[in-house]
Amino acid sequence: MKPVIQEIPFARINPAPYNPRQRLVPTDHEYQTIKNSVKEFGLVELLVWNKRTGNLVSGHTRLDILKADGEKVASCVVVDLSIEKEKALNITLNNPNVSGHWEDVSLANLLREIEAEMPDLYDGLNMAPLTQEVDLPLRGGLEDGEGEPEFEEGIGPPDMELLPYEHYDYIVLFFKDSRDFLAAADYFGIEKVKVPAYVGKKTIGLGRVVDGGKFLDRIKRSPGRDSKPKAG
Amino acid sequence: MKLFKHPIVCVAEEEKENYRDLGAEVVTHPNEVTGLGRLRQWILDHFKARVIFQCNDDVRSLYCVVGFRPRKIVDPEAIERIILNAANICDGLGISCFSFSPFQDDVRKFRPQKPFSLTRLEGAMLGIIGRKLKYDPNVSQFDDVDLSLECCLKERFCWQDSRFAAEHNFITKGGGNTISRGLENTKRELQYMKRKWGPYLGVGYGKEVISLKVKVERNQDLDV
Repeated sequence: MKPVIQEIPFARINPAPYNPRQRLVPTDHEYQTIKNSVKEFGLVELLVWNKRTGNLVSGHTRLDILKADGEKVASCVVVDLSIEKEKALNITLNNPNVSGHWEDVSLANLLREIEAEMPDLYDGLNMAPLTQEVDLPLRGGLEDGEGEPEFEEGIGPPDMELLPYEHYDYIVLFFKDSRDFLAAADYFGIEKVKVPAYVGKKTIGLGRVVDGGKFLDRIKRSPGRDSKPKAG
Repeated sequence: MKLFKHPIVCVAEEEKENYRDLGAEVVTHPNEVTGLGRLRQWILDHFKARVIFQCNDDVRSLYCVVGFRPRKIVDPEAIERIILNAANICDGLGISCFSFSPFQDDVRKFRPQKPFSLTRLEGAMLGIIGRKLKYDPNVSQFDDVDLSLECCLKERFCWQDSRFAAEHNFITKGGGNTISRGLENTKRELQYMKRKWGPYLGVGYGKEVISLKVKVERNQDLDV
């Protein structure tokens, strides 16, 4: 099936109202990467436009970039689809599962080649994260089993997944009044820290870590306080 | 050396003569203790203090990376305060390890909304409280990444105060731990690390360096 390619004025192209992709803005790294690609190679990946609905099926960020550059028309692959099929095509064109998989060694070699010969392009097109996504062999390759150390029985990746509700985080409390600070220090039992190993001084300041769970418990149990503080 | 008020320099026995006129206390470790994992564990075993702060010999200063310009800190008193403050927080949190940012003097990489990292330790300046965790003797180069993952496994998180960063040289010279480096050793160690930590270890290949990444989630994806 031969693709139909036409110059379409932007006035006829509607961004798909259902588009499930997050809209990128110029401050996003991904936006800049696509912009760099268009600048370097031109619009080699054409927009896909459905003439039946007027919706853009694929290329929303590219359209934004072209508009920002003052363009008024762009070459589009024109399709003629029902809205249902258009939505399916939108998903298909953005579905990472449709794009196949990297061949690790080839990718590694290509990335190194591009990085060595065109470092600006390598950075501009944000290729570095690809090295994190695939299990790349070291330069020069390594045969299976070569140089592996002896392992103790049972050694292997442990399970380090996040447990339900497990969450480590922090909130910084900032005081502008010594009375407030002293009241809070007293309330949460914050004391001076002793450092026995340190020569010449007995204390170095206040301990300032308060367990968040205990903090909430104290607030909830405080007489005359709502369990849920009011905003503001 | 000049960054600390009471440094103790740890060198191999065979290198002791080179440090005779250093003007600091020098402790020697057996020559056969090689590789960062073994060496750092030897230090933990040898010294009895509850808090041990280890600093690489190529660290030139500490930077404060909060604000528009990095601020270089070389005053030993100030550096000591910063270290003790981090140790206090770490102790208050009930965990064993703390360190500072790996991003040297680059203020662009400091995120004011996230001044502390909870999954990654940086080995150039690293503190350990107690002896709950041990270094892996099989790891000679990527000891800080291995320890970060060990913390995430056994204590669930670690403490990196990203407001401060050690200024240090990248690995270019001989001496010290360079005996553990070299392509074959690096390959072997990477294989070991990958097998040990599986999907929780990310490997990135730069122009001249290999960077390892801790891929452990310690936050729920909350819509606050």
